[in-house]
Amino acid sequence: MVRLSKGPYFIVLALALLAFFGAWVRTYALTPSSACVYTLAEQNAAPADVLFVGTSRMGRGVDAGYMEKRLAAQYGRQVTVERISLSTSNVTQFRPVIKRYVEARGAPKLVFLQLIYNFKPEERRSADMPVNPPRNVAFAPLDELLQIQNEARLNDHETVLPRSLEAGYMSIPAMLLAKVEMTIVAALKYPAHRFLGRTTGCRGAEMHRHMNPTRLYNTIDDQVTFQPETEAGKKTRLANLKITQAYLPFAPLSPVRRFENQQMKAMIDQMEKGGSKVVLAYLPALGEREIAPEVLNEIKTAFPTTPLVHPMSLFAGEDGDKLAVSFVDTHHVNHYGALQFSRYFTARIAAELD
Amino acid sequence: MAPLQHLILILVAWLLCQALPRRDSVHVLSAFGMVALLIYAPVAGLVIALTALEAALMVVFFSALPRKSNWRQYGAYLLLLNLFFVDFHHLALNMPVAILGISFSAVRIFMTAKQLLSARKAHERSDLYWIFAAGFYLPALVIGPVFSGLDLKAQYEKGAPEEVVLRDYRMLLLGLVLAMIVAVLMGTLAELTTLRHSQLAAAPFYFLQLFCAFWGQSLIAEHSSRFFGYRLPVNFDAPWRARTPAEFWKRWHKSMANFVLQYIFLPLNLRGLSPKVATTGAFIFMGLWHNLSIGYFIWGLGHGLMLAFSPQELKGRAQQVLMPVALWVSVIGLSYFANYGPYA
Repeated sequence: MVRLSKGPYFIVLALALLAFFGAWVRTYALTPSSACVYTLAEQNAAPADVLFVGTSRMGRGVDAGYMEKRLAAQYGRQVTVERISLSTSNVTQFRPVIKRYVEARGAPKLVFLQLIYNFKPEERRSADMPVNPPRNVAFAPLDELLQIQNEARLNDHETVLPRSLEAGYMSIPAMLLAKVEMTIVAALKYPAHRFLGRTTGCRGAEMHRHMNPTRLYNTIDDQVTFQPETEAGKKTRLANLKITQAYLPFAPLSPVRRFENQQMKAMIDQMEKGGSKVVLAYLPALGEREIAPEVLNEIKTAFPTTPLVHPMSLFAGEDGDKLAVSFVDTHHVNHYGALQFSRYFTARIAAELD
Repeated sequence: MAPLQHLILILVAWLLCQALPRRDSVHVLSAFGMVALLIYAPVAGLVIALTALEAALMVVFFSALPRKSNWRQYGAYLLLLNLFFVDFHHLALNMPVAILGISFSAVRIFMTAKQLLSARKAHERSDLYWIFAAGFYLPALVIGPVFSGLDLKAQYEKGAPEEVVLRDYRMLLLGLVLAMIVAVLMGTLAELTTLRHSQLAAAPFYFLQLFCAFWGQSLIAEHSSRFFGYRLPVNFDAPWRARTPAEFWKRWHKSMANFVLQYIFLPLNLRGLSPKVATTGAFIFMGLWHNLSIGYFIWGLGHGLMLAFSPQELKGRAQQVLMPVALWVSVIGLSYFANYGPYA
């Protein structure tokens, strides 16, 4: 009979087996969309001609399949388009993905890089916000995590203390423990996900459908029409509008986490060295019909050699009124909004590739 | 430190302890507590070490004074000023740092020093070790419970620790499920409710998230400590059964409530404050111990007033029905106000 005091041996064994199982089935504690982004970046294929990189705003607003079809039909161009989008506003989460993409597949000809918003900056000032978000810890090797931390300056305090003591930095053992924990949690989730018929990894077409909560991608066509607002929708929109006004757009001189600007520059450098032409893209939120001149100036100051495009011209006139309310929430457009944004970017691709 | 990472560190310590006499595992656990702080929050580790050193020096110097002297009786309370580091460290260091464990460790260190100074029998120099052991005890590092290092010493000297029982494994598993699954689920429900309705409507889910995370981590601490033969005080005793504020604080965060009553309420009461005022004062301290904010001041004031002025026994049908409802509305409401209200 096993003595209960020796029971911790079995806990150690169970956790070790779970860790191995999690690593073996290549499942992830995080949402499958995170795994899809890395699978897309690491696949054995030539780079896309055009790559869109951004947050869920870009994920909802840009339909790669639609753009490929429209480029072929309207402009007579056979162009491959891909999109990498990860939710939440954090530039560091794109660093390892872009590095992987360029190293594994090569640099795309043209990259649209979204200017990330400081989502609810008053909340993101949290002292223990990690430099490397959980996605990086899960997918990036230790050396990349350390590189990002070493480059990072958090709140730009003029302090004589080592920055490695600052909240948000992780020590190597803490990173390793976090990785082990994620693998164990993934293994625990795996049977439940299989049982519920959910995606446990990322294969085939799933790669292109990440960040796809409304089954929007590669589904829109020119037949999508504007749906007038319902009273309930209008109420929600107006309520959300108050929240929108509380947000600060990503501004190069923002007091919150300035180091993310430096991360953007590092990404741009990496892609340009690979031969990409990088274009910054500014995607509006609900009711946001123009960009303040001072914000444009700040962007220009921070990224003087990188062009900026934004679909604000679409908001002029009656069509603009329709587009301004074609959002499912504060940040994300609906089918009609996605159609307008995708058309806009299709035209930009054609112009940039000429 | 996430619950599973905490458990992994405890299990690594347990594996190392297999080569040692079982009661000596307390030394390994304290050493591993230091290692954990070095890994996750080195500045917090330094603050805890300095607080323990400060406590040891206080015990050495104050114990030379007459037993009735104010310094000997109340000097150790100066240690609680170190709790301000949690709220003001960014001003002193000019940058935010991880503050893991400081609030709980400082209280444990204080309790040990206070007990050493109050003991009738003169302490030995070796007793100072238990100040550090209490400060760095790995299972209790993340979320308590709070206890005196002399409790560890008593168990150490008693030797022959009890065997682990099946219930410990069940409770450990329950702790993991609560902290890793249920708390996350409640957090998701809170976010969804906030998005669809309002943050206020999500208050019960925020409260349940906090409760599950706290209870789960407490269970991990209490029952993983039993692997090493050391028993820790219980933090939660079916708080959902509470029907009055007095009963609530006998069931909710028991170790901290006991600390507040013994070390804040009693001295205030003995110094002449009425029990009602002393109770309110003690709970205001408890609120500010959570966070130095107006929100938590009001949280402490609210709980203190409830405890001071609510009936100890429920008489009549109306009281029996209304009091539990009022209690839980107040508990959830004050928690929401302190954490998410305008003065959070």
